[in-house]
Amino acid sequence: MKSIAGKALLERTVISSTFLAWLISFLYFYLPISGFIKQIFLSNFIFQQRLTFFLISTALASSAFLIKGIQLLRKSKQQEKLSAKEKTIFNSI
Amino acid sequence: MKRRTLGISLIIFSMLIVSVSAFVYEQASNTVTQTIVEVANITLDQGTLGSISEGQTILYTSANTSSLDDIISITTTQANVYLHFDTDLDGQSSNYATYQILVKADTVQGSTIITGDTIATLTLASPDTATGVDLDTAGAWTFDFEITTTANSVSSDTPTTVNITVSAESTST
Repeated sequence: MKSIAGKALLERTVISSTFLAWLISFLYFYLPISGFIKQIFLSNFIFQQRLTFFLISTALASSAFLIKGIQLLRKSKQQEKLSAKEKTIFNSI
Repeated sequence: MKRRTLGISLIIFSMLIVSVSAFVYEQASNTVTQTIVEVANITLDQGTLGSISEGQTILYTSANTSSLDDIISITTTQANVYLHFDTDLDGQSSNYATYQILVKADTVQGSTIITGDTIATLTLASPDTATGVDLDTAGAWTFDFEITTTANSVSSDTPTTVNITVSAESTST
């Protein structure tokens, strides 16, 4: 029981960290290029660095959300099947 | 049912992240084609300009200070590249009564800017250029600095440094 709770907490931490990383990289990267911050300090090197960080965090965050979403859908389907089976057994008794 | 809704929400959210990122990437690609190039990082200190006494005014030109000659050199491959100057001159107002940097054209292309023209003036009150200097024709450009400084009274020897960032952008602001 303890390990299940621990696993759930770890999953939540991973998902929220990837989302937070994506959000930070989004602000860090998008604000200068959108013109909210003066572009003058954004050299090509810094630009490439931020772009890489942004792309990596996008990949991580979207994968984390997608995997968790699919996992939940699968579990929900399994649960539905199980409930149907229980009903059948109960009915047959 | 709750699990199913949450699962679908997470999948939609992951797609939303990808979509937003794709949009930002598209915008970024446009910025890359516009390209912001840092042309030069210039430091003006004792090594460049030497010492100045209290109350003294010195005019540094490319003729008497060789390091100011062709201090900026840029070769543009397209027309209408804008040169921006950004300095920390405003931090020197306690040390100097006057600190004026004139950026003068030396090697030019086209006919809008003529050799000897002052293309930008940077002072204690306005340390950055509000709008970029339009290099309207592609080619090699060089610029000299002409600096006038008047030192304030100080309680002891005070080393000062002025940093200037020069960047080339495709937009004037």
